[in-house]
Amino acid sequence: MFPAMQDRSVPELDDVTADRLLDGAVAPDDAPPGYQDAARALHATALLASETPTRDGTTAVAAFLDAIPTRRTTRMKKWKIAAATLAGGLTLSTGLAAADVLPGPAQDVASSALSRVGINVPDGNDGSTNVSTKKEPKAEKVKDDTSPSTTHPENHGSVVSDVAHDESNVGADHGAAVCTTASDGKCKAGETHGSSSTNSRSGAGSSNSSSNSSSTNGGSSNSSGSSANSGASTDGGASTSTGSSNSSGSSGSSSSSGGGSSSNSGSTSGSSGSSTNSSGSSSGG
Amino acid sequence: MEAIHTPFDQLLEAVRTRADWAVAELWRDLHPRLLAYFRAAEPAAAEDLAADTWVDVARSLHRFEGGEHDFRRFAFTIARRRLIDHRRRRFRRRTDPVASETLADRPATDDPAASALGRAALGVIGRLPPEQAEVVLLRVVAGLSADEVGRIVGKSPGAVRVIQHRALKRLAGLLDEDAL
Repeated sequence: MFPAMQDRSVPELDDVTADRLLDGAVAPDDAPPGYQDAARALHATALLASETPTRDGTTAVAAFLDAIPTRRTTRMKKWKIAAATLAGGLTLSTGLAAADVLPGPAQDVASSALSRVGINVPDGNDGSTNVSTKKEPKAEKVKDDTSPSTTHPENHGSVVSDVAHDESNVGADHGAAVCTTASDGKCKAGETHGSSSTNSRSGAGSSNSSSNSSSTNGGSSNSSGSSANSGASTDGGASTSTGSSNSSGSSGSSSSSGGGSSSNSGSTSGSSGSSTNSSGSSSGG
Repeated sequence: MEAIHTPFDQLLEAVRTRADWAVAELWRDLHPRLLAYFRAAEPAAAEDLAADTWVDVARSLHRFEGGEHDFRRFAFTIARRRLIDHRRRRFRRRTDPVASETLADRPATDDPAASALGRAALGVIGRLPPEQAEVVLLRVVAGLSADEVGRIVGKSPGAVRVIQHRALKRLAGLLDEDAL
């Protein structure tokens, strides 16, 4: 007979009664019809589960007792974990302090604490630390105000070009205007020779010399960036700038080419004063 | 019949310190249940499985927190895993090293008649489908509720109730068949 067919002969049972049967809350004689034997079996099973064990337990009990971790063992494990964590933290902190990569206040604390145990590490204000050493080049770069990218707006070149094309000024005044604009007022064009040499030299000296040579040949004069070359190029005073000028605005450089009129000896030979300047003006004439 | 008379938290604390009286009290309460559970499921390996379960319970004892029912659920969760491991190993070996013991071979302890009836009942429960037998044993032998059994076997309480309902019908049918 199939089990399913067997089940059909057993009357239905509601969930509450089923729960009560399994909980042992229904006496076998009080069980629903067809379930008295099942209730009796469940009752006997529950009794079996509560009988006192009398044999075969000694070895199992001993194994159970051996397997119980003692409180001391548990505490020792916790202490070991705590000690290992502390040691690791101290090693890491000391290493970071020795490498001088901690933030300033933390470095000070670490330095003072470690100095008590005879370990010398730099403090947060120590100038010889790695951090300050790394910062120094950056500071120098900031101080380098001759860099065109940091001192001039992006349209500086076009501004200089506009001034160069401005025909309201002629001659030395024109050159001085261009110079002043190009150098942000640092140019000393038009002043007594020699006094302007130091300022002019603050620019890129190498480019000055090249422009000087071209200007004496009656070629074009180039002023690049914020250098005071352009100012110096007009330093000759006597020359007339009639040529066109090209400027590249973004780089802040402008070049003007004149018909051999511009001269620029003052800037390159600033230290030597006006002697070279006169040569520029003579060639322009 | 409850074997534990001491407040459970005190009993557990004493067991953790290996107090003999506490271990004995816990043993008297739990061991027969474990044995009955394993005898119905794996009669040949019931003693070994119960001993393995005790060892695992002892190893995890320091992590346990809860009351008496929680501890029983905790112990039978371990017991069930030991049973699954045992069956898996047996399936790999594909042999049954020990012939199935008849429940009547076990000597009775308290009441011979009741004990014999109980062993026979375990045999009938062991003939139920494994899922149904497991639920009945955890409900009757371990004394757990449907919710607690569901947490052990990984089923919802409703699913456990459906299984136990079918198990009771099947059990009644089997007993009726045996009576015939």
